[in-house]
Amino acid sequence: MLDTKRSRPLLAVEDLRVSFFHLEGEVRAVDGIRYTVERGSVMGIVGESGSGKSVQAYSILGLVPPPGRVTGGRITFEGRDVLSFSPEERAHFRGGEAAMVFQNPMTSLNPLYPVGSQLVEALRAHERGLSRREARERAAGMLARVGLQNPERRMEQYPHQFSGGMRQRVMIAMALICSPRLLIADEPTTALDVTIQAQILELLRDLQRETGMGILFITHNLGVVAELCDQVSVMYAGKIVEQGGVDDIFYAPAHPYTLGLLRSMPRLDGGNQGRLVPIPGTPADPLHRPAGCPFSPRCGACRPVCRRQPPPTVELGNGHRAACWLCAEERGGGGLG
Amino acid sequence: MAEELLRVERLCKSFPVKGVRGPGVQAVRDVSFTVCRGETLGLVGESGCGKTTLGRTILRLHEPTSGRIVYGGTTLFAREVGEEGRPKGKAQAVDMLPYRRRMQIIFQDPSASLDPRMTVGEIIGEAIDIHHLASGRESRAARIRELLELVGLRKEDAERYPHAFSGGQQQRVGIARALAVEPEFLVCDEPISALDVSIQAQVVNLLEDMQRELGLTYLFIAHDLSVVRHISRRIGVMYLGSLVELAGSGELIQKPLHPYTQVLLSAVPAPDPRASRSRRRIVLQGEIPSPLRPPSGCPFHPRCPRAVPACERTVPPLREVEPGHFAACLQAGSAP
Repeated sequence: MLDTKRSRPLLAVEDLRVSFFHLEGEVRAVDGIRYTVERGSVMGIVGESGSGKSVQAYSILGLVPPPGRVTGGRITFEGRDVLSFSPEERAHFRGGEAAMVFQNPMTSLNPLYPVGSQLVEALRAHERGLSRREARERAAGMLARVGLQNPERRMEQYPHQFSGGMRQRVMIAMALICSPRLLIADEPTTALDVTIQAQILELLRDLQRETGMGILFITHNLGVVAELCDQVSVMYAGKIVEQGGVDDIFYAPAHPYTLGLLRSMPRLDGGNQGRLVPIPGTPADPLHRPAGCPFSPRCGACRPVCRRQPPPTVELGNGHRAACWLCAEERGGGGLG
Repeated sequence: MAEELLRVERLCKSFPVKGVRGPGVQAVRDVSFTVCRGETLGLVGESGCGKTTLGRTILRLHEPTSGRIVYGGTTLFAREVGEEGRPKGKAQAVDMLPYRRRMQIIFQDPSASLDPRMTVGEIIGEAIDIHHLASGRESRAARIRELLELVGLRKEDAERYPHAFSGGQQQRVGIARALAVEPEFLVCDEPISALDVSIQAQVVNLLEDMQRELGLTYLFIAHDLSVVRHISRRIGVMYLGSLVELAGSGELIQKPLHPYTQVLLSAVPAPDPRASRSRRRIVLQGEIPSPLRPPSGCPFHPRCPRAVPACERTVPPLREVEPGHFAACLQAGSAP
């Protein structure tokens, strides 16, 4: 008999919807997205500011701030329904089974406590039986694992005594101290310099290889996606417009938005390739999104149907899919999905 | 060779720190270079390397500590360097107002650099008024309209306030304001790093168009090497206040001579999964030392994979290792 727990994905998000209810109206920040994160694999969520990439991740841990709330869909973690967790189950899930690393490590560490006591607190909240001494030993071991020298001494120090890169290492240590099976990383390297970013990406890759955890990696940086991710979902205006293996996304992009992003970036290796090809216009106003395809006002290949009706999601093979009328037509009509 | 527009010689800028003896934070240390008319010189480096301070010191938005700035043949500032880098004698400096018309700056954060209580028309008009560039209300309004259209905004936008614009549009306003005084030289300080990926290329193209149409000269400061490579003819690399390498942009990317440039280039994530799987990366140990207590000798030696004992003692001068390719490394040019 197959172990059913193994054959299920680690995390499955189905038709997730998150809205913010403002005086001006409802903003559908996340508008029906689906993806899975497998064990030992990295799912990258790419998008620009306002695309909904962070909000969808917050909803997994129940962290969507008011006036926002999840309005539909399902999130399952190892087959269990995350959205209907009791408060106790949620407390165990958050930090114990799934943990998060945020963009700005300074605002996620408490400036009034030494980092050691913050690590110990996180550990003892999830492993009640642990003595203070054991907890401190594990915390020191974890800090050493993420590359801090003199961990015992470092534990006595306050967050302001750490550099940005070191703080992010502390955040990663704190997230991983209870051995979660899912790590959610929300732009963890955006505030860091490129050489420090390279150190953190290498650390995440090593830790994943050791622990076999799944990673949900949220970023706007396509270079980082290419370095780290196995699967990629491209978000635009609350929807996933394209999804697939990292090679498909970079070498066979199907959605005009993905193509536009890749084309508009200057390349370090590509010589002086003359004029850049920007995506025209600006991202859609979240209060007044277009009726059909959200990208249609900026799309060079826009047809009348794109403005009228939301595009179907077209399967391109091997888990590669794109939500675009153009792809549907190329595939011989496609289906209304 | 094209005409030299700007020359910077041994420029230093330090900020005194209370309770700390010595020169304080040495943000810019002994930097020399020239910029020719019509070219773009890119300046890259990580946060804290002094690139922004250098740009502002050239415009004398920060008063230099020592060194010399020559713009269009006129010395804007000169002060000698004495013992241990301390300034010596009296500074020689000119009134900057007439030069503000010729040298302008575009700031990194477009929303923070536009007054929220002024309309876009007032923001652009203020620059015109200060330098008396319009003969009457009609010609002033016409000039504002012309500038807005030049940077791709609509003439009605003059009546709107900065908050009504997106980040990319705000940066266009910042560019229009800088262009209002018809400058020759622009310091572009991270002009696109606050913008979304899909908007960055629009602003890069606008800057390139303006350069071609108006014959502008740019000092383009950014941390994103790909963008700097795209827009610049030559690139300078800064580390801990010093200019460590300077070369033509293709040359610098393909044949970096300074170990720090090599590390920096290998750290840039390429949007190319196959290449990044096969690439060997030099991951640097440790972090940038404090500019309050910079290391002795070469600023990079404590982290340098190629450091030898001499690097600890000798400050390497920026020397021409190959024609047009300068590096401040004792070992640059010798086989690794």
